[in-house]
Amino acid sequence: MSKQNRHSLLATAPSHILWTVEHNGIRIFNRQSDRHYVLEYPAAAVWDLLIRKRSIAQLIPILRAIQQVSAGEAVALVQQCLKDWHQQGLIEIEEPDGESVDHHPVQ
Amino acid sequence: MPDLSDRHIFIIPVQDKFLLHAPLLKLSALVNRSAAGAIRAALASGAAAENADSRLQPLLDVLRQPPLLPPAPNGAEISPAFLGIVTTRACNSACVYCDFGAPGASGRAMDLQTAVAAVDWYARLLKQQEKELLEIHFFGGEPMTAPAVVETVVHRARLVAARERLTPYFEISTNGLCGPALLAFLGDYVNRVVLSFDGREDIQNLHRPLRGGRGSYPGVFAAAQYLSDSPAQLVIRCCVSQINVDIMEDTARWFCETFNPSLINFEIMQPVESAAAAGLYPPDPYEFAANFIKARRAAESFGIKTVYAADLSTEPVYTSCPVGSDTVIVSPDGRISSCYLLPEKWQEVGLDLALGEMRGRRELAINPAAVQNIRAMVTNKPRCEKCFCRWSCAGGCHVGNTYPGCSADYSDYCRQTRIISACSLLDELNLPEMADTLIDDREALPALACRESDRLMEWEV
Ligand code: SF4
Ligand code: SF4
Repeated sequence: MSKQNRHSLLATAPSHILWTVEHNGIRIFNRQSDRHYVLEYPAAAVWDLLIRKRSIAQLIPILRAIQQVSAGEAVALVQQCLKDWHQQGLIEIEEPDGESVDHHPVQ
Repeated sequence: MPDLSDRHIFIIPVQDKFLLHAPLLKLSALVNRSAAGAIRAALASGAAAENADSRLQPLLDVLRQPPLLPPAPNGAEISPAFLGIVTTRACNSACVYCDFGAPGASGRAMDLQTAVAAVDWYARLLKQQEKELLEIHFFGGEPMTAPAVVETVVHRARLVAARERLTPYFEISTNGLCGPALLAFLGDYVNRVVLSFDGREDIQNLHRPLRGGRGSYPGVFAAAQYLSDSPAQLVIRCCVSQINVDIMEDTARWFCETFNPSLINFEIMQPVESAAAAGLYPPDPYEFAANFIKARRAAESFGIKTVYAADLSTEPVYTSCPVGSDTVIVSPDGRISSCYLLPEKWQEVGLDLALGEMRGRRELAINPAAVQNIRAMVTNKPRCEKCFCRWSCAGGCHVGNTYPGCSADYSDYCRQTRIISACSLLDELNLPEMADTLIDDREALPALACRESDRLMEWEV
């Protein structure tokens, strides 16, 4: 897969995942496992932007500005979030053509 | 400091009665001519209360108190009412009366680092001043044509607010034509969405066409529907020209029946060349005021409030617009001012509303002398000195209405403001039926609207 394609990955929340915006971050509820998760910043911003279909290429400059970090650090944060959430079954990761894939590292 | 003595007590004719209005004493009352005369005489002579009708004694007691000036921003440091972010001057619409520099404006969006610097500066200032509310308003152009700026500001402000124990509050003025995903973002994160929506399809498409002439109605209708069901407060901002002035009541009812607004804001169209070329003009002020009150009644029956920016305020104010309340508005190019218009607009009328500029991309440099000058400018309004709205409208738009050197005569804006404010006073006194009769009385309205001085002590009984 090309770097460009990796930067165009999309994350979606499966239908059993509900989430709401709260005062300090985001609350996620997994209806299948009956578990709650609270995401604080900056992870809350990653969740919001990914789930709203911002591609990773669009997301990195925003995250850099929000967190005041380098591009490398922003990418590392996204990678970590994707890995954790994918493992927890909170997200599915798709290619832009809609094909669902296992977790890809982001460059 | 204005010399007030007894100049802060006003008398306003309402058909055969008079409204006595002392906003700095929080007193208003409806009196008849002889009571108004007796009050005036008692105040002029300092006469003992017994000389006047004893029923007037409670009023005289209050009127003899020293007036309480509203708190003004003071101190050397700026104390913003809110932080404004003009994300871009570009717009995806082509409203015929746009006065915000959008037609032909550069598509440049604010640099994300500038946006973050503004948020951080504001949060630091709030902490220093021991304030809690991190209030940010987005303007344009159309602010959602630069969505990354809005997203960055919202998330940075929420991140900083969580860290600094501040309460974030967001407001946006938008045309709503940003698509479902961004509307969902607004619904979830923005406390108050002010949606420009001028009414049913024919009016909306006439006033606010898209580029290329297509109608904006379907998109705005969908946005209003979506926002009605979202956690955000929906405010509908309806612009009124001579074309829709006589259907304001129907428009208000339709808004209430079709959507779920928390407020409906009616404003008059600005007289700009592009609007005139399209055959659109500001409405007649009497028609506007009368129809505004009718629209207010219609919306009230649904439990929804209508507002007019220069209407009576609950507390006396020095300004009814962001200018003069230390508001800091950052433009896409990093210029900082207290008004969201392009600088050329205020420079045209001899005003300097610049507050400072970005230093590099990281620091906001506010000029303290500019802050003081703007604070002083809003208190110096010769036209308003004798007007009973001087502590509520307080000059209205400082660029469009009461700029330095403007005519001392009332403008159309003044006339409609004076009528609406008098009706609001009657409503406050629980006399809405008097307001309803007043707006249909074509002799009483000019008598009220055009009166040179409302000062009680200048009234010739
Ligand atoms: S004179 Fe006009 S601008 Fe001034 S306070 Fe009265 S209505 Fe407002
Ligand atoms: S001066 Fe006029 S245009 Fe500028 S902020 Fe105030 S009301 Fe708006």
